Amino acid sequence: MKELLVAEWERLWKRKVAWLTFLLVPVVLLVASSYLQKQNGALTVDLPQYTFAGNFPVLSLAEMLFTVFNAMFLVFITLVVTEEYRSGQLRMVMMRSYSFKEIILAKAIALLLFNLLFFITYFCVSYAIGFLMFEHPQSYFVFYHNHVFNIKEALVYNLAFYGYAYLTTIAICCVLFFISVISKTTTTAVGIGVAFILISFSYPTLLRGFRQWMSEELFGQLFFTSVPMIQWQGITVMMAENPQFVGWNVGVLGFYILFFGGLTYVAIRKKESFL
Amino acid sequence: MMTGLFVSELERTFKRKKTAVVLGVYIGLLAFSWFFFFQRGGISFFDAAHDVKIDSLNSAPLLLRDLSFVITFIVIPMFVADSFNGEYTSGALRMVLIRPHHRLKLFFVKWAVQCLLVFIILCITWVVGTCLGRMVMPHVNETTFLGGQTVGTIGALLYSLKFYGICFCIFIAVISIGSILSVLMPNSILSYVATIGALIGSVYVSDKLSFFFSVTDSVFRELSKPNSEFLVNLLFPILFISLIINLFVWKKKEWVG
Repeated sequence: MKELLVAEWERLWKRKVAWLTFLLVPVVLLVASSYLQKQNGALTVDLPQYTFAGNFPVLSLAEMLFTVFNAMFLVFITLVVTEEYRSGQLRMVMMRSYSFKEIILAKAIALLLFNLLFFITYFCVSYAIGFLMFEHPQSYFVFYHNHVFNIKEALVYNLAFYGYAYLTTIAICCVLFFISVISKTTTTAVGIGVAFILISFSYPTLLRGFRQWMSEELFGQLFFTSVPMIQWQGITVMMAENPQFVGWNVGVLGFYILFFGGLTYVAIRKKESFL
Repeated sequence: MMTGLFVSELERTFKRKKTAVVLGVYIGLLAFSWFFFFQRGGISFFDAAHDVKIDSLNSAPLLLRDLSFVITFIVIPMFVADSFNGEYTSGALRMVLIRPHHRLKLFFVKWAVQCLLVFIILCITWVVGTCLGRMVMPHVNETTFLGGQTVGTIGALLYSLKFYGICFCIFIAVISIGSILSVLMPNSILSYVATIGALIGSVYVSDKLSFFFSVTDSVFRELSKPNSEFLVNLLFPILFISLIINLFVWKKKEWVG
C-alpha cells in the first residue's frame, strides 16, 4: 500500500501541470491583490472588507476558493482518475496484485496530500505578498467581530479559516471523485463537474426569491446545503463572534464526504466497467 | 469535397453519445426553466438590478438569459474540447487525417459544425420561448425592454431576433477561442478548463470583456443604448483575430505524434 501511494505521488508530480499549478500561486495572488487594492479605494479603513497584510490571506482565499481551487481539483481529479484509466496509463499498476479499492484509496490520499501542500503554499505566499502589497497596521477589524484583532490573533484566525477551507475542499473532492469514477470520457467528467459546481452555486441564489416565505433559520440552512456557499460565506459565519450554523455546516460537509465516498465505493464494487 | 467532410464531421459528432445526451438535457432544462418562470410568479431579470414581468412578447430573450450559463460553460467547452482535442488525442481523427484534405478545410468544417450545433440550440430556445410566450404568458400588445424602450409585436420580434443574433456572435467567439486553446492543450481536460478559465479571466482583464462571462446581461445593456458600436468595435475584431490565430495554430500543429 505504501509503495502504491509513493507511485501515485510520483505519477502526480511527473505531470507538468502539477508544477505549473504551484507556479501559478503567486500569479493568482497578484491578480487577487490588484483586485482587492481596487476595492480598497472604494472602502473606508474601519470596514472588515478593507484589505490589510493581516487579512489578505483570508480575503484572497475567499476570492479564489470557489474558482481557482475548485477548477484545480476538477483538473487533477479527472486527470488522475478518468484520464489515467481511460488512456491505459494505469495498466502497469493494475497488473500488480492490488485491488481497485486500494488503487482508488491511494489516489485519494495522494490528491488530499497534494491539496494540503497547495493550501500551505498558498498560505505562505499570500502572507508574503500581503506584506509586500498592503499596509500592515497593528490591529484591524474582522468579519462579524466587534473587537479589533492584533497580528497574533489574526494569525490564529487565518489558520482556522484555512482549516475550515481545507475541510470544504475535501467535500468537493469527494463529489468530483465520484463523478470521475463513473464518467466514460474525460470531457464528460469535467462537464458534469462544472455542472455540479454551477448548480450548487446557482440554486442558493435562486432561493433568495423565496426568502419571504421561510424563516431566517430555514433559509440559512437551505442556503448552506451547497458547499460553494459554505466556502463563500459559511466559513466567516462559522467563525463569527457568535458562531452560527457550525453544527449544520459541518454536518453538511460530513454528509457530502460520507455520501459520495459511499457512492464511489459502491460504484467500484458493483461494476468493473465503471472504472 | 467539402460536403463529404462536413457529413463525416457531423457523423463523428453524433456518434459520441454525449452530443445527443447534452442536447436532450438541454431540452429538459428548457422545460425546467419554464416551470421556474411560473414558480417565480412570472418575474425575471434583465440583469441583477432590473426585474421585469414576463409577458407574451419578451419571453424569448428572458428564457435565453436563464440558460446562457449552461451554453457558455458546459455545452460549448465540452463540444469544442471533444471536437478539436478529444478526436485528435483519442485517434478518432486519424482516418480523416490520412486522406489528402487540406488542413484548413478540416478546420473550417469542424468550426462550422460547432457553430451549427449552437445555432440549433439557439433556434430551439427561440422557438420554444416565442411559442410558449404566446400561449401561456399574459397577452400584451406592447412591452418594455431595458432602457425604457417600448415596442409593439413586430418590434419585440425584431428585438428578440437581434438579441439572439448578438448572442450567437458571442457564442461563435467563444467557440473560436475555445478551439485555439483546445489545439494548444495536450489533453481535453486542460482544454476544457482553459476555455472556462479564459472566459472567467476575461472579467479580470477588462470590464468591457465581461460579455464573455455574463452574455445576456451585457447584450441587454448594449441593446438598451441608442447606438452601440460594441459589435463593430469589440466583438468582430476578437472574432476575426481569434479565427486568424486559429488558422495559424491549426496549420502549424505537429500532426504526426
